[in-house]
Amino acid sequence: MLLLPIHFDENEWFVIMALFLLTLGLIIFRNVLSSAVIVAVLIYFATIGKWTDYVVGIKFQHYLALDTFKQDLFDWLCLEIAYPLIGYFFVNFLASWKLKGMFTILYIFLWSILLVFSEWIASLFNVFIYIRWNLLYSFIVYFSVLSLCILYLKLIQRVYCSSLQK
Amino acid sequence: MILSIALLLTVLLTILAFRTKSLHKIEVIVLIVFISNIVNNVYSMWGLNLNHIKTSDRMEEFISFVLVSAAMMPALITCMLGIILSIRTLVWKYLFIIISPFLLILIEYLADVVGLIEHYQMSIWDSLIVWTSVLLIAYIFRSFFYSLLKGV
Repeated sequence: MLLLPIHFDENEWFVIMALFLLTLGLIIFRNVLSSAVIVAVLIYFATIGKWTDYVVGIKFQHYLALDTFKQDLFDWLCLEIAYPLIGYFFVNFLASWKLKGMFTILYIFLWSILLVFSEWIASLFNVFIYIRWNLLYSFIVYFSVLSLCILYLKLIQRVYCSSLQK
Repeated sequence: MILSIALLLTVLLTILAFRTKSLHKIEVIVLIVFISNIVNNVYSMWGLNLNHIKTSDRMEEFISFVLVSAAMMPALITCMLGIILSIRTLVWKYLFIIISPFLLILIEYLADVVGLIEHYQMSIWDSLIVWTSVLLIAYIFRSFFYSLLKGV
């Protein structure tokens, strides 16, 4: 059962604004991926975000997300909608700019910095309250998750091409 | 010890899922990731928010729990879907559909016995509803993803 927020304050408004901007981006930017790959990418980011949050944030309580160590409605919206959309933009721009080799690593690095920056802004709105956590750890997590995403994407595209040939 | 067993079972079931003839490899990958998300929802909402399930505080058991719920259960459910889709006889198909949630309950209660999780105020019928729903959602998602692959 999803819980409702304890207090509806600045962090919930931040989530609503973030969701609005991400949806706006979805309308503005041109999609270059196939539907099956989009679904695969959205699911990857939702799942990895949920498990990371479950282990690091909830179980080991390294940070407090949205006022509670439980999972409320806005946590769920963040994990199931906002994170996958961010992941979608990451993959969509990567595919549209056709980056390869060292440029991919640079791209992951820049995205990790962008995500750390957006997390810092979120922490100003008390979306995250750090207990035994800091932005350097976040950077390491983002860099690992995005690098893993590239491998996942390559695997997906390889098997997707073979499925189309059959 | 428990972590090694969980790891071994995860690897075996993942290999088995990839060897399923009725599912394509891309379907297996996406299904495992999707079911992992659903299982996380189950443990977050039932376990965390309603306090019906508590995970172990010992590190080895907690890592085993994460491995079992994030990879082993999804791989097992994917195998089950593969088997359901490959069975041609209608009677056997329905029989397997009925048996499947009970197999998942058996694993959940084995996890309780070995100490990975502890059940509070959660009856076997609650588990039956949860795992039947997970199987149903996974089946609906597979149909949706299959239609995307075929470009419908």
